[in-house]
Amino acid sequence: MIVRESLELWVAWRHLRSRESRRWTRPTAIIFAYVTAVGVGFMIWARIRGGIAEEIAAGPMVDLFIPPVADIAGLIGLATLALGLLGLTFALLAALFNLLSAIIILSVAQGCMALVVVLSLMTGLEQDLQAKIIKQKAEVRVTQIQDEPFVDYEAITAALRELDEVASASPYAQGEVMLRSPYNRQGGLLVGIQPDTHAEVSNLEEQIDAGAYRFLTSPEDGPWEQLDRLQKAREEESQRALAAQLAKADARADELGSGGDEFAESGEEASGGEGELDDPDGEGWEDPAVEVPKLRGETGAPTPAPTESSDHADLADATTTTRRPELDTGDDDWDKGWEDPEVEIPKLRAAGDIPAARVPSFAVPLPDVGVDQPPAGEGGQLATPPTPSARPEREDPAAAANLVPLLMGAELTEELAVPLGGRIQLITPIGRMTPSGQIPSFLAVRVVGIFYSGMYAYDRQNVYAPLDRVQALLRLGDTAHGIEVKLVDPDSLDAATTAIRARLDALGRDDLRVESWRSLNRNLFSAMFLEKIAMFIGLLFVVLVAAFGILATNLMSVLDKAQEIAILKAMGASDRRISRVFMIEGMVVGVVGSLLGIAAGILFCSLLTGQGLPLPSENFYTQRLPVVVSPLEVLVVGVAALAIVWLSSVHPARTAARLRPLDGLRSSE
Amino acid sequence: MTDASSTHDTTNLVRVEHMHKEFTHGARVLHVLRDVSLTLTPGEMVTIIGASGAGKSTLLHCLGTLDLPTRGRILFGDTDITRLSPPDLAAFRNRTIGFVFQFHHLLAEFTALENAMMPALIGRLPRKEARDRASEMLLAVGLGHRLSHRPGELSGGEQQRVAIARALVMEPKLLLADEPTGNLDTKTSEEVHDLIFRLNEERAMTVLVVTHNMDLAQMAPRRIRMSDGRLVDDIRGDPTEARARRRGSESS
Repeated sequence: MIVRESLELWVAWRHLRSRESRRWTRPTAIIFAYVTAVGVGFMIWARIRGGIAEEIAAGPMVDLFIPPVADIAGLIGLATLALGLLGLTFALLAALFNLLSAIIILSVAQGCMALVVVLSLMTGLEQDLQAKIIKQKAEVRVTQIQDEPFVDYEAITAALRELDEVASASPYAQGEVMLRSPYNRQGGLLVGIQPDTHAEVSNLEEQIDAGAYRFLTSPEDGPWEQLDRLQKAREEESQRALAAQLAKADARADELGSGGDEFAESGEEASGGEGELDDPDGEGWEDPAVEVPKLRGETGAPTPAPTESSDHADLADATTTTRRPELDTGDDDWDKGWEDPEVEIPKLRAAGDIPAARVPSFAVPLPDVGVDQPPAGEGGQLATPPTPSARPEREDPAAAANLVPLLMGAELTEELAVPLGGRIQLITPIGRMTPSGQIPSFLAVRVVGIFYSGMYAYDRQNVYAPLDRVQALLRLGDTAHGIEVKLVDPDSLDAATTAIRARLDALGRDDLRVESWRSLNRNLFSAMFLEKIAMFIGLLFVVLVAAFGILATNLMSVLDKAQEIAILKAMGASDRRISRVFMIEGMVVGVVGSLLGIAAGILFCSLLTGQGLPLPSENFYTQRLPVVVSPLEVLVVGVAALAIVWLSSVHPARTAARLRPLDGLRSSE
Repeated sequence: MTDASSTHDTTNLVRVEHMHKEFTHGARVLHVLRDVSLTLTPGEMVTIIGASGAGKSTLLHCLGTLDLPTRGRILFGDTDITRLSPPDLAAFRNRTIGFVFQFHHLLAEFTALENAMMPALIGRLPRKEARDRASEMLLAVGLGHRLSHRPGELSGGEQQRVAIARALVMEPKLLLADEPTGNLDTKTSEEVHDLIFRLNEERAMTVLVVTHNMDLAQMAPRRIRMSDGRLVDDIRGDPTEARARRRGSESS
């Protein structure tokens, strides 16, 4: 035995050992071994029956938290197992060490276990969040310093892709929009992406729960007609039910007179999914198309039948004479919001109001894609006065398939009560300028995919559409707000950021900034880190309390063994060796305790990961407690525990070393 | 005076020169040892008697380097042990001095054999050699059958004999015994006394015994009486006579 090699270890070991064998340790160990076995049995049964994992896999949202029997069994098993292991450990410790040492070891172990488990939970949450952030957004984002859109995004994206550190890059444009469904309206962040390249930088494709990512590029592949029919049937059903209910409610017929109208209206809105198709004049959908020309007619605004510049000049005169003051105060954004640039600009130019230099940025992008132009299908042109050909297409199901495809978060679909395949309307304040003021732009879209990222902010806020459509809706021209950059090695964030920065500098683009996900979420992660440190220190007090236990026990042991110390000194043991004996005693307790605690913590964590502690979804957005055991943290816990234990052993050891042999010999009686 | 002592005079084992020991107790200074000078020769058997508080034990402790004299020198051979550093003192005690106290002071968690091995292990002897020496010593004190017993399982006499075996395991030149039989009944005391005398003869080891037991004191060839911190009597008798006396007491 190694223990026998050193006298100090030998003596310390004998001190720690129980003096007499305790009878109760064996039966206690057997009883707790049985309890452990029962716990394991429960857990195995729960595993066979299947736990929460399948349920989560079944759907993105678990509305009601009713843990299945198997889960309850699993939790009972976990608790039983924990109890059994605790008792078993204590029985073994008591068999191996004296009672006092066993208790101290257990308390050190508890402190370490608490530290490991809590830190692992916090790391789990942090990494969970981190993964969710990086999954939908790439690791690095390149944006303009003032968050303005920039034109040459394609060239920069291509340049960034050439870098070794970069796996892929994809530009995006974004803007805040209002989403309107027949039932509700919500604000959201519309992100325009290039579906092909975006799939390379983000995990959005994998996060789609319903629908498919590919529908972004080819919306016509989706089973929309079926879905539409289904939805229509469902709504007709509910409308019938509503009508039946209304018919019954005849008691206050007069009062209901106006209310009934409202109901009828909302009923129409409710059918809005396809009400738009059936009913061109339906409330809530058609008004822009109807209103805008109306407004134009009233104010004498031009109908968009762009022809000759002379015409425009004439009209421009009319417009500018009435609206001039407003335009003069307007800045660039104001200009961008201006109605039908390709129509207006020549007018203004003719009137000498727009500097010639501004022209290209307007002139280039808008003609190819626009909200106003047919590619948007019948939904796209709502913002514009309908072209003669647009109206007939309304009833055509093929055109309905051409709605702008949109990916939406699970939370937002719930808020808007829009099913997969449902149609909603995007509204942006960045609309057209008309003589009567700024008119919002509208875009009819179809939800072709529902994603669940597990990150509430994304699921609640983000909607994705093809870049060109978004550019058109937001009147961005051919510009993008930024470029998402996926790295080859996510860990070498700083190096990659530097490389990207260098490339941008080489391109002479110091107006672009490079931000990593870490710097973008610095507040969040530094708060989490601070929280973790606070938790660590807080829980270290548990170990500290245990350390005081060591201090007290060792001090008592020193006083108790004063005679032994005296005789050892009389026999020629030096002070250092005496002190070492008691240091070893403290350290054995500390090492055994912290090792046990860390082992128990890791075991507990792995059981938590395996069994999973289901969280009620109404309270937590994370459905399962994420647990990640970080070796570094375990090491820190171990080192901290050992340091504390060491410190608490020093005093008793020094007391022992300083003890004068005569004192010990005199106190013999 | 006698042949035995005079032959050894040339090579003194210990020479104590004008040793004083004072304890300050509050404002009062307690003179425990006053100008003690003493010479011990190798193989000598000396008993010290005296009233309680006469300074017997303190003298023993100073000789055993467990305590330092206030003034004066203690020479072991040529080295003045009052000037040694604590680690050197510890090593010196380990190699040169064996202690037997009134109480056995055995380590409760260890067996008789392990207790007896302890000084050898402290002296960093190999474990096997320590074990051999210890079992040999235990055999010599008549405990060959009790090697693996814990102190709690031994009788008072046996415990004290283990303590003696432990004191002798490093074959010290000087054995200091402080009332070794003070806690034992008469019969066991005599057994222990015999053992000490026998070991003194067999191993030619200087033995200094502090005792209240007059029988034991009378048996020794050299008897020192202390009073009030001074050596008042230093009587050397004939060892053979003492042995005869002991044999007489044995036969009676």
